[in-house]
Amino acid sequence: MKREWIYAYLMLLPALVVLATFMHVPTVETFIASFWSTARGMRPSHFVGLKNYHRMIADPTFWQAMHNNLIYAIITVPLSMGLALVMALLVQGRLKGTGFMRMAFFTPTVLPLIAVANIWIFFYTPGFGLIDQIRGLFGLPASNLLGTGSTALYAVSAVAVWKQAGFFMIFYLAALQTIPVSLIEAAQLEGASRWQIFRRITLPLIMPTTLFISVNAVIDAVRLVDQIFQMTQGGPNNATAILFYYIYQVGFQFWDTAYAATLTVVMIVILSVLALGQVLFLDRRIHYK
Amino acid sequence: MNCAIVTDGYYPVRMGNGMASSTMTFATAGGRPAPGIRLRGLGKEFPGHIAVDGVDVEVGAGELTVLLGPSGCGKSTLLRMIAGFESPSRGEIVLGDHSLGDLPPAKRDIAMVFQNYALFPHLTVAENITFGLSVRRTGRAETAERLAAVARLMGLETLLERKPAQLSGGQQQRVALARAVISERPVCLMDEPLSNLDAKLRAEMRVEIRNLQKRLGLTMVYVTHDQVEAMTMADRIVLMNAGRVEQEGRPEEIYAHPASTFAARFIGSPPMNLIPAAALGIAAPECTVAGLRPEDMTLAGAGVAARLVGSEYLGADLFVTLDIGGTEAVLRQPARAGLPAGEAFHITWAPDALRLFDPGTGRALPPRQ
Repeated sequence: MKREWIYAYLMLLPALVVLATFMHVPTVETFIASFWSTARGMRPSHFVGLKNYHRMIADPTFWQAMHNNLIYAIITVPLSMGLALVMALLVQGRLKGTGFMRMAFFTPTVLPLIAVANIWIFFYTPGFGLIDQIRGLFGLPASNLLGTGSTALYAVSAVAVWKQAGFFMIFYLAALQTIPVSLIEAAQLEGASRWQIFRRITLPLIMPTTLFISVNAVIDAVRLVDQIFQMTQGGPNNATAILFYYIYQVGFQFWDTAYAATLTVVMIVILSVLALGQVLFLDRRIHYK
Repeated sequence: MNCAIVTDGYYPVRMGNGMASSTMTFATAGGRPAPGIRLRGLGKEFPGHIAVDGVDVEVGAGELTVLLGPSGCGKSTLLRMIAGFESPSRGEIVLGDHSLGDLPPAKRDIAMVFQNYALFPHLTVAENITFGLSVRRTGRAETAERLAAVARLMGLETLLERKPAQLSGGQQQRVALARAVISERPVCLMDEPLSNLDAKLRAEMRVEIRNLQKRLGLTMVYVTHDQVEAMTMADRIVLMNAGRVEQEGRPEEIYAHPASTFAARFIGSPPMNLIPAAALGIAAPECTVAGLRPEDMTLAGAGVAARLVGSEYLGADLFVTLDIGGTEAVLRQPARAGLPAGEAFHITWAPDALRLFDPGTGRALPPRQ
């Protein structure tokens, strides 16, 4: 019995070492660092208590980043999930050309986000980008979606949705394939319409996948910001600065590591609460096999 | 002389044959007279493969018709065409006095029980049973009334709030039946409904389904590969092989007068013995195959010589495997009659029990005068 335990821990050890080195220890260190000041020149770091947190609460850029992030999440999470489900429903059948469509839908996932961002920069380019060329066909004036404060956040959100929907589609596709055909046939025989079958059979049966995807989508809404580096660098006037990008700026452009640690703690807490809430709330309404 | 016996290589599995009394109490449901079904020249081709090949079958109104055959014989495809899940390549299906054509499944006035029950795993038993009523927007009071009646009929009153995963196989089967019964549709299709149950439960459910069908006056088409189910339940059996109807008739007819060596081997447990007629000393055209049911042969002091190969004791019966002129055959006799000492026996048979088959086609030859 005891040998088995030693054996089990030995098997877990490599993963534990890696996780501890790159995840757990830095998380704890970040938490500690948020109560200390940033070391500068001749002044070493010293304990400041909650000072960093007070500063954060008074920091308008932090609140703007939080606000931007909320809008970014509200747009990207439901849109990418909904689009993923629609695409999965489209390509799950045995119609001609579904193989090509599956590939087309999945392609954005394979591309690096930086490359995706460059493609979209071309779409958005004022004057001769794809969007303005189409606007031109209808006699509409040139636009600058990325450079305008009121539209920039939506413009970078669209990139995230485009990038992620194909990835989530794969999970929905896998879930849809596990629903036995006889369940759908039994419902058809009873006279259920396609919408009734979708709402009362398909949707409840893929809820475990929906939960899994929604947790991932929410995490990605905070984490997936590569395109902001490439497309807007948080501008114009912080319109696209979401929390993670702001942390990067504070930590690696302003080198204020203690304040960056404080912001990171807030981000970790928000993510943990969201994930826990989703699991606890949705778990009770989900049928697992 | 090399006389091969045509049996299409199919030897059915020997089945236990238990009986159980039904504990169900019945109420009546529905009220419309059940129509019959006629299949006319029905065919179904899939790319590179003919599943059903010109089937003409008459399903009697209010009768239980069993589509029987080995896997891949086209019986399930036939059932799915009646349900409307597959469209026929040829022929037509007539329900009562109107052709079903391309009518979608929901419009055919047909209920169906699926092989794996197809219960909705996220819904309770009550929600499963009333699913059809709710999508057809039946009133709340009527739904509750019909649910109560069907639950009482099927003995499901105490299980209504459970999920399918919390039920035994037999209970799931009852829910699937209840879902078909509550629709009050006069025709019910069943696709191997008992194949997921253990032998004892299967024997019980055979009786229950048969009683239910009789009590409700349903026209039932029942697909199975199990000849015991077919024999015990059917008003009529349609025996299928390779997409065609091999033989059609009452169980007694098919058992006593198999139309082919395939039918002879498929029906009966153990199946009919097929022995070269020459080995039995019967005057017949060369290579003619003789068929004898195990219970129609008897051990005797004189007759055709047979050597003992083995015996199997089943309590009431004794199955004696014999070598008759190089062919193995099984003889069935009451176990208490015992087995004479030694290995060399003689057998006799009732002349009217003997069947003869053409060696080339495997079809039954007309009885000799």
